[in-house]
Amino acid sequence: MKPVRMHHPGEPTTEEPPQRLLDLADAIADPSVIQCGITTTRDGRWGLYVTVPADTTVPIASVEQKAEGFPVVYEAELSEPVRAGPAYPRRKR
Amino acid sequence: MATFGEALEALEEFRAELVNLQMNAPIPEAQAMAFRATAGEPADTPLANVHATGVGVRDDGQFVVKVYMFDAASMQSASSVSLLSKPMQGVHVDVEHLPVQTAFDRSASRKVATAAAGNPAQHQARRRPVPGGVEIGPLGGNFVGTLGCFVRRGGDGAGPLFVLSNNHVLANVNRFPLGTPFTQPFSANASDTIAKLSSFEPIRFPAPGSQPRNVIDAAIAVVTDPAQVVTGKMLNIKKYVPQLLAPRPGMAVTKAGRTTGVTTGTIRAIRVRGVQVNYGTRQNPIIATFDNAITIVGSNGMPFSNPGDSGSVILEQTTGRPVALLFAGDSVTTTACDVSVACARFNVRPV
Repeated sequence: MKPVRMHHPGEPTTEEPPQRLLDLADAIADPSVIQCGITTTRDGRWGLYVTVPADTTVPIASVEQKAEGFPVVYEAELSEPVRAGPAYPRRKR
Repeated sequence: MATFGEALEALEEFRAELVNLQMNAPIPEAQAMAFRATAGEPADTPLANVHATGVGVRDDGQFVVKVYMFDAASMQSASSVSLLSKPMQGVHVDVEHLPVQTAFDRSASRKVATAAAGNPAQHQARRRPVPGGVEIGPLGGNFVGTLGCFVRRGGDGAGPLFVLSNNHVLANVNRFPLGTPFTQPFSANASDTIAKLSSFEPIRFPAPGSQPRNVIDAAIAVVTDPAQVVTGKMLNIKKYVPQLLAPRPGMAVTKAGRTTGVTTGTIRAIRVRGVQVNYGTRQNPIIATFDNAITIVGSNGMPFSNPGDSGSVILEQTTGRPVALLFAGDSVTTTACDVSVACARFNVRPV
């Protein structure tokens, strides 16, 4: 299975994510994981948010093992880094 | 419960099987000679009436293979066809009636898009008193960003008043000296000055032997004349309550920005670490890595932000409370930092 292109999280079932999940998110260290964070599944369960190269086969065993039963959402990484920059109003488009 | 990825894989298999069955279906001689209109009549096989397939989601969040049929009559016989009535690779198949669609009137769709995007021109104009969510730029400079909101130091209301925005807007990525004047709007006229750079969190870039991590792209500029600004207001946003709120996935959010005006979106993930952000150009990228980031996607496929919206404060849509500070993005994804962390860094609170 390949990672999803765009994850759409649902409203979380509880106000705050479980502390254990926050700790786990900091501990994920698989070499194919580009980013790791916290999200919710479509039905609102708290889970790990992981971005990996688009051609990666998921789920990743080491990540699932570390996730301790929390759902893991795998999303394909962007084709290039996001840009931070102002606008230049005098430049012609 | 099937995931989106599983549903996509099942869809590919479903389509291959569908084409195979349609190709091998026996064609009555009369139909082979000439097509005939069949509107309102059940076809010989329901598969002949399938005109679209895709991935859908049920109310309970389960992803399914979606099959659309021209007429309601063939839907009734769909259960007699194995392909349309059994799960494909464990993913359920939902059959729906979808008559022939008519394209929207182009002028109407343009109106909707314009309304959804707000009115960017208002956010680029001179505003007095100055609210949050408007254009700001260095005096005589060549770039612009967004004045996110006003923040104050000290709890008694007597402390100094600041503008909150990004480092890359107010400090030009660590380059501007403290005291650099900022105008509203973008201007070379000193009389338009509203604030001067006070403090910024340096953005750290990799160096030999060093892979630094960043958490915020933020800076503050002290308001030079508080009588020229209005606190507690965000241009074109009806409800703005300057009380910090923790961001959550799935949270519906809005922002007022210089380039796209008022837009809405949804938080996809929070506390994301390892986000690569390009402070250079496509040709000459200068990459900084951020942790504790928040990612947002715009509503209805519209971008949540564009260049020039940097510095916008992102609000929870229903309460109008600040949750994030926008600083990067592309046509699909917007990246923000936790506005609470930015306020703590400068010892200020939104007003």
